[in-house]
Amino acid sequence: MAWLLAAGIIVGIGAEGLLLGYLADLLLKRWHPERPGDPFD
Amino acid sequence: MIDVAGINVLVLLLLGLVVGILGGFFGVGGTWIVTPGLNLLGLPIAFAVGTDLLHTMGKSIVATIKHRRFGHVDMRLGAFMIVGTTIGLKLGEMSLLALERAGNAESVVRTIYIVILFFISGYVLHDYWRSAIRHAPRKPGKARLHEKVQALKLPPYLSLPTSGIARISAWIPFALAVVSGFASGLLGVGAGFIRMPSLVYLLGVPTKIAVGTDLFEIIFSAGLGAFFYALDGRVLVTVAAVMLVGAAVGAQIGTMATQFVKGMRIRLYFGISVLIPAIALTIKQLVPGSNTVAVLLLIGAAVFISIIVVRALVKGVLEARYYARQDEDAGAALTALLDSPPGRRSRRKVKS
Repeated sequence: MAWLLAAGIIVGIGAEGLLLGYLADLLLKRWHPERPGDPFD
Repeated sequence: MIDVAGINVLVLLLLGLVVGILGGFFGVGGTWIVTPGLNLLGLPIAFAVGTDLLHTMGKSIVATIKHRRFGHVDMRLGAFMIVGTTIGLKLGEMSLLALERAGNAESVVRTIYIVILFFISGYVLHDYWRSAIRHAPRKPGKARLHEKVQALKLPPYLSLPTSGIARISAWIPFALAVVSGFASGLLGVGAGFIRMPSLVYLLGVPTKIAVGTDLFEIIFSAGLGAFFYALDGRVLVTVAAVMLVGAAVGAQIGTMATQFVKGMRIRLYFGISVLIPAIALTIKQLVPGSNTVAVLLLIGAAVFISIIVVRALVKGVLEARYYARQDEDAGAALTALLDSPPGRRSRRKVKS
């Protein structure tokens, strides 16, 4: 039972992270750089 | 105001926001701020660690998705390192238990932590000073550390095209993962502050890709740690969930800021942000009863660096818009010139 609960907590927070990431992405969309910078600079 | 586990919701949101910004920008979990911060706010240390790990996992998901969009995550390298991290984590925990049995765990662990933090910040800041301030030329024929490491002939090999590494011995990232996992288990931290600079200096991964890949790695290391703490019932889900709201916004801000700051500058800020906890922990170690001062120094430094990151983002966005507007104006002027009748066009030409 403890394993299930612990796994549920991890999945729940992971799902919250995904949802919040999506919402924050929408909220801050107008601030996105139009041309992504060079990852190798 | 609403309280969660006796802590003001606004304080939790702000704490989440600050570590979210630092996490997205540096690719670290920020346990060095949150754990002592939550402890100072009244949570027992075991609950502070477990809750922090849980929120760090959620925050890293947010930041990794964003970094992946910018091409900053080397999935192959990250996935390969997960195994080594897990082994190291277990070895670190076993070492911690052995030290606890010997009765001097806290002092030894803190001393190791301080030495590592000073070493990393010293190395990173010295490299910045040598490369960006002194512009010291490299001695001819002298290879950099990562060039020597990549030239090691020790099969099997890995190819990491996302990081621009044609071939590297698989043992190097594996060993790095074990060592960082060990530090994570021993010190009770995410060890992103070890992994991120090691990916840059040891493996030769570009800074921004090191940040994104480290965050991807933290999802699993923090998730595993949080799972074990949850098994013992040592996590406060509501506190982690509230902090994650602030951290989700902060992680977006920190990640976007990496688009406007050069890799070298990210390393400078990282060096400073590692130096401050080293100083704070030294104060805590040497001056009895200075815990509150040390924690406040940590949180103050975290807020200060977050402000620098936000400023870099705002400046970068405004500059990008200015140049985009100039491009549009130049384009419009060119179109108008090309559309105008040939006679007028030639007169304009004479005028100019």
